[in-house]
Amino acid sequence: MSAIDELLELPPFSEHSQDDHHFLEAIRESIQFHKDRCPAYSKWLDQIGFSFRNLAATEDVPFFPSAVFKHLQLVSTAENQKVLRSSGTTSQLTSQISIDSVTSKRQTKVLAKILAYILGPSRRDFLILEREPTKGKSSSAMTARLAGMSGYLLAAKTRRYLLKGNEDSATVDEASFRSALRGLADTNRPPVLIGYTYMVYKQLIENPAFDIHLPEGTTLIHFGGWKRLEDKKIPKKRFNELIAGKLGLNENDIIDIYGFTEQLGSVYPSIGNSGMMVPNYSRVLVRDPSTMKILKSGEPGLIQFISPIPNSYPGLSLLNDDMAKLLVKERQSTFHTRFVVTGRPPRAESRGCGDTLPESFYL
Amino acid sequence: MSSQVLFAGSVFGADSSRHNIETIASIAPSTSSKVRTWNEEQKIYFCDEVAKTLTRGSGDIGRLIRENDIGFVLAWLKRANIVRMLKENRINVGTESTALVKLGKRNYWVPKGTLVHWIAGNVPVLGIISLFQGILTGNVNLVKAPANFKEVLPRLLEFITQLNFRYHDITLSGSDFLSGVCVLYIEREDLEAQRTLSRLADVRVAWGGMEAVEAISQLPKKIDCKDVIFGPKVSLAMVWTSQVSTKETADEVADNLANDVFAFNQAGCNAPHNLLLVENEEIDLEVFFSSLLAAFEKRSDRKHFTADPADAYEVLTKRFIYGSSNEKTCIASAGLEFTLLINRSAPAISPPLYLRTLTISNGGSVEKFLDLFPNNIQTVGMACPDNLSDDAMDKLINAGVCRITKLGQMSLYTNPWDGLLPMNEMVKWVSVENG
Repeated sequence: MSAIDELLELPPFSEHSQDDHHFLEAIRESIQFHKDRCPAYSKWLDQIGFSFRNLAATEDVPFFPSAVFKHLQLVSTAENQKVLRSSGTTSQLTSQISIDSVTSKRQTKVLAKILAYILGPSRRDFLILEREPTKGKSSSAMTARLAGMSGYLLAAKTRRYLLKGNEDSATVDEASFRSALRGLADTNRPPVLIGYTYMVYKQLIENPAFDIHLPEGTTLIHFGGWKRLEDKKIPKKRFNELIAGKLGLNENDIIDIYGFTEQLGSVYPSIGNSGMMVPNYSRVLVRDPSTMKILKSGEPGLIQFISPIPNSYPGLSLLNDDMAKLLVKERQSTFHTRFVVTGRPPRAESRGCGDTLPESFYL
Repeated sequence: MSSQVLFAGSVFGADSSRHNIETIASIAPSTSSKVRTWNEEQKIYFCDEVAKTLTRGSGDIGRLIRENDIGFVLAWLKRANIVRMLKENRINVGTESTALVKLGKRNYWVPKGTLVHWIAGNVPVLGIISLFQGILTGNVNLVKAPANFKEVLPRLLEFITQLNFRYHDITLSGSDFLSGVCVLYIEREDLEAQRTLSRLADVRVAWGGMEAVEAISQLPKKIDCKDVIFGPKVSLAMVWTSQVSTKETADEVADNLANDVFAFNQAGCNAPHNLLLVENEEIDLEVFFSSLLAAFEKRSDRKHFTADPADAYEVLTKRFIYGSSNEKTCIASAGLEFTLLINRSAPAISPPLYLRTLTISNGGSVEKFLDLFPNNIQTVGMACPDNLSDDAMDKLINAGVCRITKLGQMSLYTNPWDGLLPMNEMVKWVSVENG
C-alpha cells in the first residue's frame, strides 16, 4: 500500500496528536509522482532548487498559488475523466482542473469520511437550497453551484430541492418546504439543510416572508465563502445567531465548510462559531505575505494547503488568496489545528500613481 | 468622526482644533496665503533654509524624515532645484516673458485661488512636492491626506511653522509660509466631505491609480476648475545590448536600473516595471542578468519591506508561470523582496506587478517594442548608444511617452512631469497690453 493510500485510511479527525512523519511520506510520494509526470511542475521544482534532502517538515513542501490553474492547465496523468472549473469570483478567469479516476476516488473517499464525522454514519434526508436541475436548462452559474454541491450529496438518503421560479428571481417554495418536512416527520431523522452561504442568507434570513422552524437536530451545511456577506458586513457569529433564531437551530448544528476547487475532497468544516478543522489528510500553514515565512498562531497571512489527494494534476501544495490565521499553537497536533479565514487580502487604501491601466491596455 | 482637520494655517483662524470641513469651506474662498506678499527670492531663500534645517534635524523630526523617505523632499527644496524648477515652469521671470516683452507686451501671473490636493498613499512624498508648488504659487492649499500619512504630514508642517529665518531686514516665518495650508483626513466613505472639498477647488491636484483618480474626477467641481492629474501611468526601461556587453557596463546599468525600481517601492508612475532589451549587438545576456540579481539583492537587504498580500499572491503566480516554462525564467528572492521575470520567447510588455518586480523581454528591435507600447507611458529610462538616431528618438516621442531620461534618473522629479508644467497649471496668466 502506498503512503498516500495509508494516509487516506486514517479517520478524518484523531483523538490524539498526529506526528507529521506519515503525512510527509505521503507528500514525498506525491511530489515524486508529479515531478516524474508533469514537466512544468518538474521544471519549476528545479528552478526553485527543490531537493528531497531538504524536505524535513511540512513547511518545506514547495507551494504555488492556486491561481496558477487559471493560467496553465497542469496535468500529471493522461486520463482525463472530467474537467472541473472554479467559479472565478474575483476575476473573469476560472481554474481548469483535470480529474482522473484516482483523484476522483480519493476525493470521494475523504469527503465521505469527513461528512460521516459531522453528520453521523447513516445517510440523511437533504433539503437543498437550489432549484431542481433540469437537463440542459440550467445556467453555467447554477451548474457550477450544483457541481460544487454534488460531493456533499453523497451523504443524502433523499433529496428535495427548495427553490422555485426562474433562476434570477428564484425564491423558497414554502409549500414544498413544509410538505418535505411533513414527509420527514415520521422518519425520526432530522434532515440536513444544505446551500451556498450567500443563498442561505438571501433566501432564509433576508427574506422577511420566510417563516419556517426546522425540526430539532436539523443540521445546516453551508459553503462557498463569505465574500458577498463581507460586503454586507455580516460576520459569521452574527450569521449563526440570525440562522439559529429564525430557523430554530442549535448554533452547533450549523456547519460552515471551507474548500476550493483546486484541492477538492479534503474540506475543512467549522462547527458553530469554532474555527475550521483540519482533517488528517491535509496540513494547513499560514505564511507572511512579505517573507513567506511561517507565521505563529493568531497572526494573519496567506494560507497554504497541503494534501496528497490530487493525482491528475500537481495541486498537492497550494497557496490561496484568502487571509487566515491558525487558532492554536500546537501545529503538530492535527486534531487541534483549526483556522479562521479573515477575508480576501485588502488592497492598500490608495494605490500609487503607477497603479494604472486595465490589462486590456497591454497587447 | 469621518473627517478631521489635522493642520490649519493662520488664515483659517486662531483655534484650528475647532475647525471642521464646513468651517474650512466657509473660510477658504475668501482668504489668501500670506506667501503672496513674498517675492521669488524670499521664497527661494526660505525653502533652502528649511531644507538645511531639516537635513540637520535630529530627534523626532530626524526620525520622521528618515522613516518616511522625506529626504527626497529636502533635496527638492534646495535653492538650485527651486530656481531650476521655477525657470522650467516659466513663472520666475519677475512676471515677464522675454518673448512677449519684445512685442511690447507684459504677462503677469496670479495664484489660481484654492488648490485641493489628493495625495496617494503609496507615493505621499510626491504629493508633498505638489503641495509646496501650490504654496510657492501663492495659492490656498487644502490637502486630503492618505491614512498612512495623516500623522506624518501635520508633524512636518507643525515643525516648519515654528521656523523663522532672517532675510536682510525682515523675518520670514514658517507660519506665514504655511498660512494658507489646511490638511484634512476624510474617510473613504464620506463622499459628502469629498464633494465639499472638490467644489472649493480652482485646481484639483490628484496623485493616484486609476480607481482613485476616476473617483476624484467624478466629484462635482467649479466649471472653470482645472484638473492636474498625476497618474495613472506606467514607466519602462530600455537597454540596448551594446550598453551591457562587459561586466563593468552591465554592473553599472544594473545598478542604475535597481535604483529606479526600488525608489518609492516601485509604487510611483515613474518606476519601471518592464525592461526591454533592444538587440543591437550579440552578447551573453546571462552576465547582465547576474549583475541585475546582485544589484537587486544589494538593495533588498537595506530596509524593512512589507508586501501587500494581494500583490504578493499575484507575483507568486507569475513566478510559477515563468519558472515552469521553457521559454521563460524567474530569478527571485526567497521572500517577496524582488522578482525578475525573463521572457525569452518574444518581445512583450506586461502589466505592472509591483513588489520590485521587473518583467524582462528580449529579442526586440525598437520598432517591435514600440508596436507594443501602451498608450499611457510616463517615463522611459534608457541605456542607449550615444549615436542613437533622431529617427529612433522621434519614434519614442511620438509613441506618447511623456519623459525620456537616463537609467538611474527615472525617480528624479523634474518638470515637465506627466507631460505638464505643474506650477504653470496653478497660476492664472494676466496679459497687460497698454501700448
